[in-house]
Amino acid sequence: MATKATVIKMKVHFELNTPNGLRRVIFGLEKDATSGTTVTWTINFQLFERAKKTDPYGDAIVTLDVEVDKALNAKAEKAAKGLTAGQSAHALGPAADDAKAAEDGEIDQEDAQQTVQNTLKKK
Amino acid sequence: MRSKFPLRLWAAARVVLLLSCVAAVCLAQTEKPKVIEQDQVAGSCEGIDLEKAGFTVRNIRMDDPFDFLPWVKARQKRAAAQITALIKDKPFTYSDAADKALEIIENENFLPDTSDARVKFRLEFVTVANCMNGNVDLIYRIYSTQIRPVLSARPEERVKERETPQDPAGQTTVVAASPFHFTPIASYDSTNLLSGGGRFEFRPRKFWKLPLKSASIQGEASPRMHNVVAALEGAYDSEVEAGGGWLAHAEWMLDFAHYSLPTGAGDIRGGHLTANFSGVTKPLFNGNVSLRFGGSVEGGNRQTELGSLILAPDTVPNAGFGMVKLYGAMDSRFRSHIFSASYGLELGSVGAAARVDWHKHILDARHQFWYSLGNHHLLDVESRFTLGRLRVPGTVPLPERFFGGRNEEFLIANDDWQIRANPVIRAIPGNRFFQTDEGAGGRDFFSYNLTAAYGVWRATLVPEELTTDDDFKSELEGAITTVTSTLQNYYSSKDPHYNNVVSQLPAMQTALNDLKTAVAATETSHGDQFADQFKACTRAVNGALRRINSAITPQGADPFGLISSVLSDDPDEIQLLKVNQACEVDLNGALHDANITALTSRVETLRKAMTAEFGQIDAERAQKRATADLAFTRRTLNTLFNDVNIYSISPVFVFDVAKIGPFGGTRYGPGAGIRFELATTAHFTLGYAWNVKRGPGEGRGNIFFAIGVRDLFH
Repeated sequence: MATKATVIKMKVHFELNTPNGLRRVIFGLEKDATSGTTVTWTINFQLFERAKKTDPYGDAIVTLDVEVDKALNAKAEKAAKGLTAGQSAHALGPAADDAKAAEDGEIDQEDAQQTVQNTLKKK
Repeated sequence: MRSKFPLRLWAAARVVLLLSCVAAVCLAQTEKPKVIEQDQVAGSCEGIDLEKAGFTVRNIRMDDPFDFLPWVKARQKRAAAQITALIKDKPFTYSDAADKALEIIENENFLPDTSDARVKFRLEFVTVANCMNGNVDLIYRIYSTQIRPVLSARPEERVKERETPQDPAGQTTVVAASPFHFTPIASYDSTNLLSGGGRFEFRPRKFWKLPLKSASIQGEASPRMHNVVAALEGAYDSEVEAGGGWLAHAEWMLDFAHYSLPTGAGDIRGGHLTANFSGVTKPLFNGNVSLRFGGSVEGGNRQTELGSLILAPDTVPNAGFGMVKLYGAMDSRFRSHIFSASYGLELGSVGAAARVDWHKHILDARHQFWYSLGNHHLLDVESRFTLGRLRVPGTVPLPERFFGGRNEEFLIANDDWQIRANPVIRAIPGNRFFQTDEGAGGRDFFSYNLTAAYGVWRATLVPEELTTDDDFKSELEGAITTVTSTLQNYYSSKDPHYNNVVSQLPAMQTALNDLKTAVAATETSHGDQFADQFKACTRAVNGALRRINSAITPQGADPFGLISSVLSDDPDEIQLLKVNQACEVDLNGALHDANITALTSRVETLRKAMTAEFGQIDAERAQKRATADLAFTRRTLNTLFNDVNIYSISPVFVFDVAKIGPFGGTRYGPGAGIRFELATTAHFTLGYAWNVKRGPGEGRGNIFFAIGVRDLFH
């Protein structure tokens, strides 16, 4: 008799588009239960830009993978079931801004990663 | 015989070994409580570190609800072949089984690119099962979909969900795939006999520089009839997360049609050129209703091979004509219901004249209800009520009068908006229901058609393991919640109070720049004194300034989120509140510099004004509007996930009532049949309806038969 399957990895990709249609954020949440007893959450953050709405989006201009602080695991679990308005605003606002600033060398990569992770804390 | 020393050594070794084993077990229990399958259901993989326990990959499987589509299947096969080569019959490693395998799946891009606005999301699961005899099976589940947000309220779309679920799920608008599409069609009744044909469509990514999306030609013919339509179509979709205007979708079409249809007593024929436009509003009234509207101009000719047909008064057998049509509809979609009512007005003239020789009014109302009795055994009930009235102040070509029967005629040539314009009764062959007191063709009619089907045998589109998985269901729902949240922010950004905040950004920018300059000048004059306080103040000012600058001239971010964050009191944020604390309280508390006090006070006054204004944004209203906009999308997703079958065989019960006037009589047509639907590949209905109150020259009943086959170029 077949037994219940056990999830060892799960990925959810949310696509967020800015109202002007020129920027897109893919906010991916990855749950990793491959290390046995511990669960690790990672945020895959990607920012895309285009000059005109009729142009296709090319490759991501910024890609950040942020391993979520274990203390935020419960919030990550909740966010995987849908981002709130505050989280969406943060992902498209400060997170995207800092990701771009880090890419341009204006701020440290760790600061940008922290801002991306802060998305989970938003209500 | 062993010596004493070796015996002692042996005993010591045993103790060390025993202690090592105990330590190893303890360590293993600390890090990984289970490395082999013990104390659990046989075959369960729960809590086992498969890599450390030395499992081997026995088998892999990929689950995608849309793998019945050849192009999805092809991608799945490619991915499966690569994953098989990577891990099958090899020692299990989490890196290969999860990370690398998912990378292969993502590279195959299971969600095709689309050219229109959709709500998109993707879920991927890697699961392990059947951990027995040192072997494990791997299952990869992918669920990706992209739904057009508003159009799903139309009853025409509901039929597509059932017959071709890949269309509403956004699995077909594949930009990179062939732009050519061909769909065979066939049907039978005793007037038209067996007819066959097809629809050929050319749908390139860009139609040169023309505002068009496709060119198509559709034809159907039998030894007794033909019907050909060639069309050029264009469309516009508003961005999903851009909210804003009331128009969700618009389309325009130029088409040429030619037909010849037998009536049993003579033939009616026509050819015409039509230009039409139609639009769909965003959902209104809390997301429960959307409106459609449109208009067309048409010119051509109508001809009749009279045979034994008797001409009614004010009716001509052959004529050129011009027509203007105006039409509107109201659609509403709930969890298990769709209601739609369309009204159409046709104003026509014989010849190219600016007068009204006839006017036609059509009301076409539809109700669809579906409910799963048991798991995916769908009871599907469709009712349709159509009313038509023709008034002739001048003359009218005979084919413009009402001819009824099994066939459907539509007021406009648009697959996505079908306003039925003739009395339909499946018990009478096509166009044979037309005899009235004043001659051939009705001036008034009504018809009511009930079709009920129950899926006795079926296979669910989404695997039952997923439809019963609560986590999966909530994550699926979460994707729509996320889009709703983004849309809510958009509507908040359209609030007048938000505009008032935005208008104060330049003043805040100036105030922060002035403060920055003043702090820098004061720092120079103080040497190393209060270095930490100066640093904290400068950092706070620079952070706030960076956010304000980005909000004024966005670099990579959306201003709403930036403003929301900089005005917040969240200590994790770069916020204006920190400027006052770092510069006025902490730094100037020691310096007592009047200029810095004045400048921080300016920043603080502006911050308070902006925060107060931002707080007045009606978030509840924005949330309601966003929820309303996505209501149809949420309901479509529910239908795709919970109701749609990959195949189903259903007994069908039909009951029709139709009346044609003046004094053409009322007919009743109960019937039964069978429907077979194989999602995307074919749908087939065969049945018989009895004409229980037949008129002169009419048969006892009619076999109705229709078949649709999938797009052969995919």
